[in-house]
Amino acid sequence: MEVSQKTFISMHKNLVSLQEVARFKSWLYTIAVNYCREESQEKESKTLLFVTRPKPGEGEESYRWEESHHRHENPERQLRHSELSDLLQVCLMELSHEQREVVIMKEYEGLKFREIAEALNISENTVKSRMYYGLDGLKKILEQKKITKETIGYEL
Amino acid sequence: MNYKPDESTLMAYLYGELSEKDTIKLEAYFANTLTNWQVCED
Repeated sequence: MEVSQKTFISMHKNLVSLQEVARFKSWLYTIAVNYCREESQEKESKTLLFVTRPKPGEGEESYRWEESHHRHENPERQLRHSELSDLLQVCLMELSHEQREVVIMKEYEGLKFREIAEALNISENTVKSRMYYGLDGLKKILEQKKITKETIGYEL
Repeated sequence: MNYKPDESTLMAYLYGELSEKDTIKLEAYFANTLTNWQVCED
């Protein structure tokens, strides 16, 4: 069963235990994060058994840097979006697990720092700090790979 | 001015989640820092 299916089943079962409706979003993310971590650990143990690591971009942790609305763009722009998506995905995979989950929840899910803190059960300052070092890490990774907006020919 | 923002403050400011009071303080710091740079350049 997929993580999203497990999350929604768990949500349905436990919805009555949710005391503050305003905290629904972070509560739901807590469930999702827990299932993601569980699956990640299972994959990690299988990886160790077979001594083959998934390529960046494969598996549950991969995060497609592409929005569905790009389908309506012209093919060249669509290709650039796709390339940029793959490139950033590779860079994201070089961040630590802690930094990556915060960057994704902030940049792609659009959660507030408070909501991320609640979902991950850590302090808001820790979330902000991980975000800061995550963005700094991404900047350094891009510099190491000599990736600039000029080299990818894409206006950031 | 001894105030120097930490990374948490900068992140909150970047994403528009800093309180109004702290935003004023941070922007005053930016303005002051910028003025000092301009003085150094002159």
